[in-house]
Amino acid sequence: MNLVELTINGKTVKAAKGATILQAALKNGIYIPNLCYDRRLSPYGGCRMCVVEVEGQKGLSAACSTQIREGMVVFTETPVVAKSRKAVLELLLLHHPLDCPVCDKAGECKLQDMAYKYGSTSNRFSASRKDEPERLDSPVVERNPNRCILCGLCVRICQDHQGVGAINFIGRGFKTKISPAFEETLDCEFCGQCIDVCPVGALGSKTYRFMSRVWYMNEEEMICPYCGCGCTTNLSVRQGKIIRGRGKEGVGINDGDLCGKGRYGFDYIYAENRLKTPMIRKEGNLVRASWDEALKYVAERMGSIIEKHGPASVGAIGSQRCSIEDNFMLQKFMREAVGTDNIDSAARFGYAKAHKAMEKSFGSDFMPIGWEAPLNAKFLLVIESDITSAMPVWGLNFILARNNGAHLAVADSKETKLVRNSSQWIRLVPGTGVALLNGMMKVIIDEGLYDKEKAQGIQNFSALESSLKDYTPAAVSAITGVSEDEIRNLAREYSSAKSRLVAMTSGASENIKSLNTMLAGANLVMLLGDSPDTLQIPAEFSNTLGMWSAGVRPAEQGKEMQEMLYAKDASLKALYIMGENPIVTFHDVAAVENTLKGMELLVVQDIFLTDTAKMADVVLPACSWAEKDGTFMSAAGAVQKIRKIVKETGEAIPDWEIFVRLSKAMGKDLGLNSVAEISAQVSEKLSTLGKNDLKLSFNPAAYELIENSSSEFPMLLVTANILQHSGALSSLSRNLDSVVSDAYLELSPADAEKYKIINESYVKVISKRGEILLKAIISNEVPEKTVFVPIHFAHAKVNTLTYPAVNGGIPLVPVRIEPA
Amino acid sequence: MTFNELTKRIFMTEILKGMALTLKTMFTKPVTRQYPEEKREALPGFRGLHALVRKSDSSLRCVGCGLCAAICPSRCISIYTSEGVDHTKVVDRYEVEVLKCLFCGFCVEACPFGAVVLTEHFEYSDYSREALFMTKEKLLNNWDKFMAGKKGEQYFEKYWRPLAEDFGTPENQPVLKNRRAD
Amino acid sequence: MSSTILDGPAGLVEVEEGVKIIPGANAIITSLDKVVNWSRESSLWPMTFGLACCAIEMMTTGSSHYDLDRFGIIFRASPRQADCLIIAGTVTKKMAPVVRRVFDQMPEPRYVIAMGSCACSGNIYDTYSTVLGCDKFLPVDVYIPGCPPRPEAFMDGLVKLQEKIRGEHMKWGAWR
Repeated sequence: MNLVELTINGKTVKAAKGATILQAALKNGIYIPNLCYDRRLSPYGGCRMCVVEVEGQKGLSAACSTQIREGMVVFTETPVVAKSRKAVLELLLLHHPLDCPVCDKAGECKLQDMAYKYGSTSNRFSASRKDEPERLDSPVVERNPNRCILCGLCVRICQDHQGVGAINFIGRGFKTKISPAFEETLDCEFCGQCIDVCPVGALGSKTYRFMSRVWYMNEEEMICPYCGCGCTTNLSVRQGKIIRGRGKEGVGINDGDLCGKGRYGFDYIYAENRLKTPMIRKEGNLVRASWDEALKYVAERMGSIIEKHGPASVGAIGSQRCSIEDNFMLQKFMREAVGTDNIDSAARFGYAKAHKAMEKSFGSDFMPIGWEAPLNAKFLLVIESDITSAMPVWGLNFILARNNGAHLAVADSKETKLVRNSSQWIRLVPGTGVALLNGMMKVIIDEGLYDKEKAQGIQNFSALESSLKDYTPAAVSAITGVSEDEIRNLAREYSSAKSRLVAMTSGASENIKSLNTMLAGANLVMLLGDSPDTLQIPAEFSNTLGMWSAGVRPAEQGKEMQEMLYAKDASLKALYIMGENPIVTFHDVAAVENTLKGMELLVVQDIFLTDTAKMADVVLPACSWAEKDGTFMSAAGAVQKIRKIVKETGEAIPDWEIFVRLSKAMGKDLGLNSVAEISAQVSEKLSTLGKNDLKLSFNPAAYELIENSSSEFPMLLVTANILQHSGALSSLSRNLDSVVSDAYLELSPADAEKYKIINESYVKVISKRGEILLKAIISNEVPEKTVFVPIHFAHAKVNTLTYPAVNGGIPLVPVRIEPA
Repeated sequence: MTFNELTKRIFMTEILKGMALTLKTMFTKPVTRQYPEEKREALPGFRGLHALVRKSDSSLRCVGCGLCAAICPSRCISIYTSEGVDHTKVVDRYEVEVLKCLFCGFCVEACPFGAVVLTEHFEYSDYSREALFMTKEKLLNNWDKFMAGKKGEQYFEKYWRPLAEDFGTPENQPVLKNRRAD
Repeated sequence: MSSTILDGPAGLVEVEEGVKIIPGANAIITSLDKVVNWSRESSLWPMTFGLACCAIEMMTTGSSHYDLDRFGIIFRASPRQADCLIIAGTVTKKMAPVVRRVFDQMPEPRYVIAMGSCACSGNIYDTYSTVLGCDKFLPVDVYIPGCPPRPEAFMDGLVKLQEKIRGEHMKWGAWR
């Protein structure tokens, strides 16, 4: 990197060539006041607070938009500069109301600080003040146009960085204000990035409105409990209660970027159905019990089942939300105290597929994503995934890559946010991503565009070649609905790009992708001689990868999830569920319910009284993520600490401690009694990860639907993630529920007309497994013959229709819809 | 020994002088104030027990800006606010831990609305900690007891003034205009 | 006395609540509680123990303008002779054992007055070296906030302590 040397306030500093004076100064610890600058955005030069004197230059220059030169001499605090700033502030304060006593920003308001430092106590000018109504009509975000100083940061971060563009300047001159189009109610993705960048109190978090003043709160850095990004969110705690979350520059992998979940989702720990005491089922009802009583009960019942049916009749389900330590203790307890290998988790339907694909194709047992990987590729191909909603903050890197000039091709049936920010949208029939990949490979092989030397040296190349026989552009076009030329061009452009990346998500709730899609992605990567790193499949939740690595999966002969919950023969007598809610999050709920009812002993250890917990024989209360120490492993493989920042609820104790006590109650000491001791063992276990040699091999992946649409069920139901939610956990957050709190069904206008469905009316969705009632939303984003349904909400019972994918087939659900 | 000293010693003038003073004092009025019966008027600006100001419509004048708590050197003030039904800021709890207070009066000076005062009441000793933990209701009662009527008005006129007025805050301040009417 | 009430055939005259005179005989009848409490409250001898600035105010209170002797309050220089310990000022963690020792040396009945905000709660000294309130190691009877409390406020505290003593019941046995 070329460094330029310049002098600021008599101090010689060095900064990268092309940087602005402001960037150079901030990087070297010299503060220049600014109101419209943000590290993520291009210079704007709007506020004129950052003016500085440059030697040999007439007048003052704006530091944020003046590039540095070799030997430049800059003064940031001279009388002339101070006078200029004072005048700027005088003009800003002409309109800005002095309502600091009731403004939530007071105390961390940039304008307030600057007025304190540079401003005058009187104003030479007079003008009538703005008298706009406060806008509190949208969820989560409040707007007060009177306080706005029109720095444009919110507009720019929303458009340029977040890729949404929900707000803009409206009106002109004195009446200019920030607003959504036509001054309607703000209806965006509610990431709240605009709130963080707002230098004054014009944009605020509604959930934090009048809750506290900033000087009452302690700010704690925590890892977000939702998706696999592993963002650091700064939680403000007052009197032992979390009341606000926000991002902070330079903190965490996300560098201050957060999505709505990270910013508002913390309040799920204050949900009403939090468990406070252990409960035991007595005469059909769950009644409160003491810890000793409950643990003794579990130990005795479990002991007798082991004695009667053997340890193999006991199973356990781990949690992607619990810390690595908790999951490690679960598997240690199961393997050592109980003696069973029947341990699995919900990741079986999600990340396990990705893991299996990586293992088969690359021989790798640990493949975290690269946080910066999207930024290093020139051609990014995203297969049927809305990364911006499954991994919102990582998704920003895709948008950033596109903005930096990379080609972002998104193959998706729905017009998602990522599609709107892409360079190319390949609109295909849902679930046909694997066919598209195979078609691309066929073109690449036929036209000889692949890395012959490398690819032919890889195992099974001939098998791949022969398996692609049927995927001619014409055939693939018929399956996917993408034109032959588009497939050919995509294959050519992709293979000729300088650097490439294939990305897709691995959500347990998604049913448009399957193992085969991921295998096809891996095949494409290997065919072009790229490194395995160019296939990026993130783990779904905050600790999916950590749980997986801690050993919550059958090691040898243990039963996998399908055998545990969906097998016809009831070989399992006892099930221990930690932090999972199969009744809500698992597919084919009828089968799951049946299995759970047939259990002799069902122990549920959770933080809420979930639908599953209501069926349990014993319910044990655990601590939520903010109430215990531990570690999470993000999708990028970073092991990050979570800390106890608030008091535990009721008698709840951390999950790992429950296992310590339970094993002692069973008369088997596991020998670990503190987080530190467990962590030591865990890190020993984790240190072996990703050390094995890669062994590449092609795995032919065919396109097949497990159930296809028929005349009786003509539509295909696609389950998907929505941006504001993550699993079923986030639906317990009141803040996030204020944005979306109910499942809905999106369908195309053509289908709506065909089935006579009115917007926002209720429709019956019928599959061969059952029927549910959902609110219909007519949307242009959705293709015909397809309905989209988010799966996060317990009461919608979408999982009565869906079913788990056992092999590589795509588990789309054929349904019929009727107006209700 | 000088002559002067010798005469002083012979005639015991020092003792006589002292005894004269004693004799003189015997005929003056005693200086002792008979405290519980006879109370001294507090001087202007005396800083006694806290009170929260009631507006003329008997509601709380405090808006919960927290500046008093921010400036409080002993951090004895804590304020809990929330959003009211009409989306305005409502002060749910205003608590002063009188035992921690050092009666510096910074809170009064910091308050931009003149919503908190230190009354002239000083006989506030008590048997328990709880009795000296002032809640919003107790503080409002203090106002009624010690500062209501003329006294409260004079207090602000004479000695303490909301400083927001010094800054020439315009009368038609949109957000504050509802608050100004008192 | 015109307001006295004749009480029963014995002709006892109640001069004050709980205090009766036998007319003719030079005798007063009252409860032992009352006598003990009366004697205690009227000769409350505090231990001189100034710790910080509040002690200056305590000395002022002892001077002729306020004159504590009127209440029978006479400062004693020895804990053995004192009934009451006035913690006047900031109690540091180094001083706390000494204060406790002085308290322990005092004979029963003994009372503790926390004078000033420092003694009550540590005041602004939320530091490593300060005890946040002397009630952390002493049974405080009366709290007098103020920084420092003015002499009247202090006297009010003493009067409150006398009131407390007056209300005591059965606190005169060896078993206390």
